[in-house]
Parts: sequence; C-alpha cells; structure tokens
Amino acid sequence: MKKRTILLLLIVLAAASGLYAGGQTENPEPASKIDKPLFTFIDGKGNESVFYHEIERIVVVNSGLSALLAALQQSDKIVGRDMFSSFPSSLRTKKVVGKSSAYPNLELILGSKPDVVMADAMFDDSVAEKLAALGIPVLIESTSNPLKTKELVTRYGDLLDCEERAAEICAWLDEADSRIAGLIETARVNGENAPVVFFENRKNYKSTSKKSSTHQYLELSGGVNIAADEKVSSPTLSPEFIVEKNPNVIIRRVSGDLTADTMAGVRDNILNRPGLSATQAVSTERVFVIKADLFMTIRYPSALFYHASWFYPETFRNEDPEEFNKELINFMFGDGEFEKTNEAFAYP
Amino acid sequence: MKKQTKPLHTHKWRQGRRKNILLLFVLLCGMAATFLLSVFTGSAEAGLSEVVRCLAAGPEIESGSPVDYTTHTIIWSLRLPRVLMSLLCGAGLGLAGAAMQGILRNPLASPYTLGISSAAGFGASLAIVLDVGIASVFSTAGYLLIISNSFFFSILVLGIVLLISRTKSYRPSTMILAGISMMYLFSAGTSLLQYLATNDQLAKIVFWLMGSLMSVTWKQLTIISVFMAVVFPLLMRLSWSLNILSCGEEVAQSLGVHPRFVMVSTALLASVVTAGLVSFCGVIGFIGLVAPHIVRMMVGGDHRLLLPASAMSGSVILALSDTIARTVLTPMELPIGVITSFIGVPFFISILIRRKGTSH
Repeated sequence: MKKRTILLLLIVLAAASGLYAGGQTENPEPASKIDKPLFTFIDGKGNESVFYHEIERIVVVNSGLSALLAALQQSDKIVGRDMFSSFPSSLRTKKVVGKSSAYPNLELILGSKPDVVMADAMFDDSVAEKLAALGIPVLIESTSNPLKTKELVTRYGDLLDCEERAAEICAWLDEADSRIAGLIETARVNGENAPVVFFENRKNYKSTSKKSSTHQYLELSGGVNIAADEKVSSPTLSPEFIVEKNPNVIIRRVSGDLTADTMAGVRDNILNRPGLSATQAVSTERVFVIKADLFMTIRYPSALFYHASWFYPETFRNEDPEEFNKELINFMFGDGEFEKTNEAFAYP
Repeated sequence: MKKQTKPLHTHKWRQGRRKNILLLFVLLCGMAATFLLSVFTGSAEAGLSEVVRCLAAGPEIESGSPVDYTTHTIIWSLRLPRVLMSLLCGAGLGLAGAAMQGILRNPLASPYTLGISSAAGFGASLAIVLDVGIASVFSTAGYLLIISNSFFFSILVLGIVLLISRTKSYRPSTMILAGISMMYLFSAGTSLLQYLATNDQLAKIVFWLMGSLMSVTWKQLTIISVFMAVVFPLLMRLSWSLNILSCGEEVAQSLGVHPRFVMVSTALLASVVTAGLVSFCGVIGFIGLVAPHIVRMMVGGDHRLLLPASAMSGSVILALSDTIARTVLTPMELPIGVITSFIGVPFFISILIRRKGTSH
C-alpha cells in the first residue's frame, strides 16, 4: 500500500514537473524588444524603464495618475484603469482592470495589451517584476506630494510627448500656489495667527507626521500640525495628547464618493467624540471634512485652498474654495467637467 | 468455525484496501478536474478552444503562429503556473497539516501551530518596512528580500520551538505552547512594524499576510516542487511510525519506534515545506487544518493513507478557492485567504460541534 501510494504521488509530481518544465522555456520576445530602445524613463521610485516605441496603450491603477493623464489630454491612450479612477467623467467608460494598485488583476492587465502600467507604491514588487519580465514596464509614482507634483507633470509630459500641455498645467499650478501663498501672507500681516491643527487621516485618531507627504498640505496652507514631530509617518494619537495640544482646527480626510449628508455625519461624530470635546476646535465648531481625492496630483491646490480658508477665515471671507475648485477642474479637465460631477468635496 | 475466521478477516481487509485505493483514485480525479476547471477559468476573455490551442502550442510559439500572443502569455505565464502552484501549495499545506496533527496528537494543530506563519509575516514585514533582511547582501530587489526573510524567520522559529521543547522531551503540549508563545511574540513584532509603516507599506504587509498566488513564476514552482519531492516520500516513510505513535509514546517505544526521532523529523519536514510555501505565497490559512480533518472523517487515522489523501484534498480545496478568488468578483481579485477561510470556518465549526457530541 505504502509503495503504491508513493508511486502514485510521484507520478502526479512527475506529470506536474513535466508540464512546468515546458514552461521554463522563455516565451518568444515581444516584437517590440527586437527594435532598438527609443528612450528610457526614470519613475518616481528611481527605477529605469526602457521603451522601444511611443506609448500608445496605458493601464493606470491609481486615481491621481489617471487624473493627471486626463489633464495632459492623454485619456484616449488609457486602455485599463482601477476602480477608483472614475474622475474625470471621461475615464468612466474605460475598462476596469483591478481594484487599485494593491489589488491589480494581472490577466485583465495583460489582456489590455498595454505598453506600460502606471501605479503607486502599493503595487507589489513581485507583480511588477513579473510584468516587466513579460515586456511591460511598471512605473511607480508618489501621487500625493504637492511639492513634487510639477516635476511629475513635466516628466509625464516628456514621456507622453505632450510637453506643451504639461507646461500649461505647471504654469497654472504656479499661479495657484502664488495666489494661496499670497493670501496666507496677507492673513499673517493682518494678525491672524497660524492655527494649531489636528489632521485625522481616514481613521479615528490616525494622523500624519513630517515623515509623510500629507504633512506638506498643512504646512503649505499655513497650519501647525500637532503630530509633525511624531516618530512614525502615520501615528495614532491618543485623545489625551490631542486635548493637551488643544487644536484650533480639526480636519478629517475621507475616502470614497461621499455626499454632503455623509460628510456631515462624519463631522458630527468628531464633534460628539468625548475625547475631543475639551478642544478649542470642537467648542468653536471649527471641524471640517475633506475628500481624499483633492490630495491627488494636480488637484492639490484645491486641498490647499480649502485648508487655508478654514485656517484664516477672516482673510478668506471673500474667497470661495468651491469656486476655486471649479476653476481648477474646468481648466484641468475641460469646461463643464465640474458641472458633471455630483460630489461633495468638503464639508461644511 | 476457525476455518471461516481467516478468510472473513482477509475479505474485510481487501474490501478496506479497495475502498482506500478508490478514494485515492477519486481524489486524483478531483485534482485533475480542478486543474482543468482552473486552467479554463479566468478573468481574461479567452474561449475554451483558444485556451486549448494555447496549451497545445506549448510554452514557445513562433512569430506568425495562429495562436494569439497575449492569450498565450496569459495562459502560460500567468494562469498555468498559478494553477499548478495552487495545487502544489494546497498539497503541501494539507500534507504538513496532517503530519503536525499526527505528532502533536491534537486535532486543532496545523502547519502554523509552531508559529511559522507569524514568524514569516514578521520577516516579510521587516523587509517591507525597514528594507532589511538576510539577503540584503546579495540583492536589493524588494520581493527577494521578502521571500528570503520570511523563510529565514520561519526556520528560526522552528529552531527556537524545538530547542524549548527539547527541555521537556518534545512533549506535544510543550511544542504547542512554545509555538503559540512564538506566534504571539512575532505577531506583536509585526503589529509594531505595521505601526511604523507608511500607508503604502501597510497595504503591502496586509496584502502579503492575506496570501496570494498572483505573482507565481515557473522558477518558484520548480523550487516548491523540489521541496515537495523531497519531503513527501520522507514523510511517507514516517507514516507507519506516526500510526504507532498515536497509540502513545510508551507503546511506540515498546514496538521499536523512537518517539523523539519521529516527532522532531516530522516537525522539521512539515515546517520546512510550510516555510517554503509561505515565503512564496504568503499566509494561506485553514487548508492545513481542514484538509486532514475532511480526509480523516472518510478514511480514519491511518497516516499511510491520511498523508497522501490530505495532500490531494488540500490541493483541490486551494485550487478551487484560488479560482473563486480570481473570478468571482472580476475585475477585482479577492485575497485567497478570504476564500479559504470562508470555506474553512464552517468545516472548523462542524468539527467542534462533532467533538462536543462525542464527549457527551
């Protein structure tokens, strides 16, 4: 019995071995690799990718990058996207090939026959390696660092041969940065103090320190982050610590397509949280909710504008952050795009 | 009367033997059917005939071949290694689970009882968050660091558990408690690393801990096959000793079986194969626990049959789970650990209920 069982299993193993031994042979090189390299590209992670022809087909699995491609007027090259890449509206008709960078669907990606895959740092290294071995480079980018966005726009303008549009976007972003910085400067001259801010990042009491690029949003909009000096990038703060720091403003960043009512519910939760009732932010009701999408690539000025308007209410009395956001969306994605969106971006 | 006893006994033995052979044959057919189902099912739009053409074309196609290059790549580079790995990985976990339950004489034992999954998770997290590992000297590739770290820490925890157990003559209870202690220790280490991680790193840790066969390569498959080809016959050699050991250590000793040798060798073999699997596929839960239990309900506790049958049923369960995970919510792909747990938990509960009934 024992010998027979062993023999049986060895046959199974041998059969499997025979099958995959066949697979050891490399597939024929994709036709593109026969050509000479046309150009190389260094992504945000520092990895170098070689391209053998112009990029015509793109799979993008990050909503910030897909928005960037749309702003660069390259949407027609997108042949696959992640589930969250639904803004601007032109992307909604594109085929979904995965949930996000963290959960791509390799069969669907490969079936889309892309020249390149664009993702964020959540994309698994071994999966990227596998795609690269099949002749599809994976470009990894950080999409929520406002200080690196213009450089990202310029690089992708070069990559996709749309330098002119990239320069237009950078000029618009420069102008927006100057406008926001100017307003903050005015506020300081007028005697408005920089507020102390507790920034709650997606989860209760989860914040952001200097080690995270999200901190830049608070710094650039003139706030003082209570968690700036924490040792880890996304610290979970204790209610005692928050009460001790006594923030003037609390901002909660939320993910997903939320309505104003849902955002109001999130705000009420913070206002009624026993641990935070002793803070100035709660007693003066300076608690705000903002959509995470505004922190992605080219949309960052909207996040800065909302923040600054909450931090310096006197100076921003005559400024409308929603109008600013509308201006940005219509410039980046075309006139009328703002009207097509039925979303709440911030509350109240 | 005496004349009738022997033939009746022989008849029953033959009947039992036929039944066991039939069961192995059915499981083998189940494996083949699962293989075919899994290879022909996927999120890519490839018809049955197209898949057959791709398989028939072999791993290499000439330019100008009527077979679509993309579909061929999907089948040969993505789906086929993945399906084979799911069969092999399920077999390894089922085999290791049956072996661990055998030496620990505990129905709740699994390949992870000695803390391997937690240690592997810690090793992988260490590579993801701090970018440090034992392979740093040889390679800077992140995924190689993760694989080598998880394997190293799995073997390390096995060494620690065996050292602790040695002080108590490798008593099963000591091994289990030492394993659980290590599990808590390394889980705490992983939690700490998760706290230190950035959001991107955290997502990678969670993805790894849930287990995935997404990025399986032919090379990985070869390595795991070698592990299995070495470990399986060795465990089979120990199967009769495991049967004797189940009667108690004193009985085993009186029959010439060295309990310590059997326990340590079995633990080593089962853990090494588990460590290899976890390093490449992450932590895939419940297969190693459930597969041996299902088989035990059908064939009883004879390890000569239990070990191969557990391996076969493990491979069927995992391959089916993976096929469900990658197709049920297309284009989304569910973490395989979610599906194995959904299948595993009801079985686990039914086992608990059965045990309670028995005690009454």
